[in-house]
Amino acid sequence: MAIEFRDVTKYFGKKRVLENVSFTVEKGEVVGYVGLNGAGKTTTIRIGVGVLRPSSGDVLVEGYSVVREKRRASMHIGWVPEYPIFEQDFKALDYFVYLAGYYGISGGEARRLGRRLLEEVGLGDALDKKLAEYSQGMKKRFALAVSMINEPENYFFDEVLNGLDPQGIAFFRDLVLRLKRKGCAILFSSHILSEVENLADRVVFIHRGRIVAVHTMDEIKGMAKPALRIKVGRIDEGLMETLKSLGEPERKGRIIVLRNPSRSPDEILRILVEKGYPVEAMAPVEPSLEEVFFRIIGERR
Amino acid sequence: MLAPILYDFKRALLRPATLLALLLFVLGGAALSYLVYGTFINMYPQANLYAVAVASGNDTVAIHGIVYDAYGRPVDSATLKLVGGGDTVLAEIRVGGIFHVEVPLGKLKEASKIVVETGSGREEYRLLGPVSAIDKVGFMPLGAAGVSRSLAPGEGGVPEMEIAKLYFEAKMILVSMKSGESVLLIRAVNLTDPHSPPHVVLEYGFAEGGVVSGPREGETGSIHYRRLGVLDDYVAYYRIRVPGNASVLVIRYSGGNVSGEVSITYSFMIPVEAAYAGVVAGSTGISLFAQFFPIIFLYLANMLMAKPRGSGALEFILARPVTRWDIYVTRYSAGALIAVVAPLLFIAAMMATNKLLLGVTMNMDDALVLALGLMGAMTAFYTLSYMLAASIKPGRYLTVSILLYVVFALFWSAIALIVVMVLGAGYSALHDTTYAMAYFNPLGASSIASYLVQRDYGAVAEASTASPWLATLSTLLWITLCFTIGYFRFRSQD
Ligand SMILES: Nc1ncnc2c1ncn2[C@@H]1O[C@H](COP(=O)(O)OP(=O)(O)O)[C@@H](O)[C@H]1O
Ligand SMILES: [Mg+2]
Repeated sequence: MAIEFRDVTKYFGKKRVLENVSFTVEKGEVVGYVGLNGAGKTTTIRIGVGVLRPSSGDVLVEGYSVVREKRRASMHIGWVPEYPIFEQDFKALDYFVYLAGYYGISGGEARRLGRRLLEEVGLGDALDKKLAEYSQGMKKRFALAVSMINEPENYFFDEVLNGLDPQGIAFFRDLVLRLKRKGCAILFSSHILSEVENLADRVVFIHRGRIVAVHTMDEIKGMAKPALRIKVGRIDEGLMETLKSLGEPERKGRIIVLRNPSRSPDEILRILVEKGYPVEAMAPVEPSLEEVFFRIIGERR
Repeated sequence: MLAPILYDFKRALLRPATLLALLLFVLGGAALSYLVYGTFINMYPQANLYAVAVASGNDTVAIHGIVYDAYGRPVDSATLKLVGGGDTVLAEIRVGGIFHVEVPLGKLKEASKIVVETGSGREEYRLLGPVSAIDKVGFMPLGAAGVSRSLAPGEGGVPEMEIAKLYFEAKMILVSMKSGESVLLIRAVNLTDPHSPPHVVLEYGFAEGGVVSGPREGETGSIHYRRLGVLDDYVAYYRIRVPGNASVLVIRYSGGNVSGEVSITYSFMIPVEAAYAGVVAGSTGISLFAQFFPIIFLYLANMLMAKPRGSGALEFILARPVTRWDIYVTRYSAGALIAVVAPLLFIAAMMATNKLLLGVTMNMDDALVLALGLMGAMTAFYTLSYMLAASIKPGRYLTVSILLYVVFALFWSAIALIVVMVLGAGYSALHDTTYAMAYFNPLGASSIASYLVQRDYGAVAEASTASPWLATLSTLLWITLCFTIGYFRFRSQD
């Protein structure tokens, strides 16, 4: 196991923000960490990278406790915070070199590495810019470059796609796949399940500080129910009754979404027409991951 | 590979702000030196003349003299200018050590003042009275006055019967009361034949206090005389040691058919060294700087801890292979190292600059006491600031630390005054109370150190409450308590 959260509980003052959070990320595995805003994702990750102390529990990275063996654990961790903050009056490359020094990489070697990594994340022409002038997206990219300084085997990415442009998102996907192939363990959080869809092997769901489910991506896709969008000229009680016998209808203005239909679209169309409802249009809806998400965390949208 | 903890320390130290802090201390030291110099040379000028002019016939005058500095040391190279009305320079003479020069009598008569210039000072001597006295008596003293004897018959203390045969004058410069180091300058003129130098044997001895006019002849039995030397020049220079248990120096001269003595009460003199140390350690010296240096440490704690902590940048650094303890300690040590080194630089710069300006500087013991006091004060204040920077709400740091600075550095003596008034102890208790309260001030070590140095020279009244041990203890307590509290609050932060 590359990353192991063990019964992590965290209080901020009297407020319990995490409760017995336990899950693992294996080598070569990409795990999505999904929950609503305020669920506790950032808190979990800050504890995982050792910058925040858990009230109880522990996190092991490569077998090192981030609480008791912080220095050793940190050698194996790369972290991109949700909102990276640096010392403002440094130039990007200088700050990179400064941070590299903590890993024993210094001087010309650190500069060369900094140039290469910053170029790689698309900051090649902003090396000498002050970090104060960096946009949120640029800061994310900078933190991404920094997270790779010592080629760690474990990564914590907190809402990393947030604030990145399409180019950045594509770069990040490639990077994650590359790291995964190298056998790295990657945990990345998002409040949007579909954001992790294409990358995650597994998803850990957190809700109000508790892990409510862990599923493989395949399981989640299997859970996503098909649905039909039906546009009918006249909507009344009778129509809703009929549809309830055919699935889970939900009215959205002049459109009805029928989830989990029990018959094929052709049959449903026939039944409605037979009952005299003027069906103007009917089309299948892509299975909705968000639906699954909300169902898993037990919240209504 | 440099361990991350050392690296962090190095980075914290080698910031423009920390280096600037060191520079400020060096500049402060030089500035203090100028301040000290300015005050000091008002009391003890750098260029002094002690000479006698003797008419040498053919309308010329021989000037025999010595130019000496504040510490009584002969100056190797100086210029004498005879200046007449309208500041016209009538004659310019280069002299050095004990000198003998000839000038036209007319020029001396025309002159209204003599200007002495050395590399480090300039002093003017007005020529009082009609210079024509030189025609009558055959000589006249020039420059600083001393204790004289036998200028003319009938002068107080000289028996009427005796016809003055020797003009004899002595001047003493007390350099240090501690070591007794003094300089004795003599000028003498053989009145029966001013053209040839005097020839007398000099002896000296010491008498207890209470003797104001000097022991009279025949009463010198209790004084043990030592030989000083043979005076066979118009001017002479001697180094002697005066004991602290006596208060009067008696110089006896005898030779041929003249004899006599002069006495100098030295116990009331302010030794040069004491005047200097008093200025350095006094309220316009070190204390003035000790009042403003804490701002630098307040700022350092802000830069090293409060600011990065408040902005959140510290968290990103904390994700490197370092612990909270590492960060707390390394950043603390960087500032603390400045607090230790800066006072040394400050004192060293002050001493070096003073050496350049005055040719002397304070002794190592005093310098060490002052440096230790400043170090303790700055470290304690820095630790207090750092504790605040690491523990209170970052947005409040500047407000709180500046408030504490104002209280501890600027208002403390006012607070002491209020305490005395509230206690109803009376104004006489202020001195003791001030030092008693120093222990409750992180900057207290500095004021105790200043006190100790000044007390050594008698430049400040004794205070029973001022103790170097208590000052050390209180400073260590300030440092350890603030450091520990700061760490525990820093460690448990989210
Ligand atoms: N430093 C803090 N002090 C107090 N409460 C906090 C702090 N950080 C986060 N919280 C609270 O903890 C909960 C979880 O926050 P967070 O971990 O940021 O959620 P997420 O990243 O999933 O949006 C939220 O209710 C948030 O308000
Ligand atoms: Mg978050």
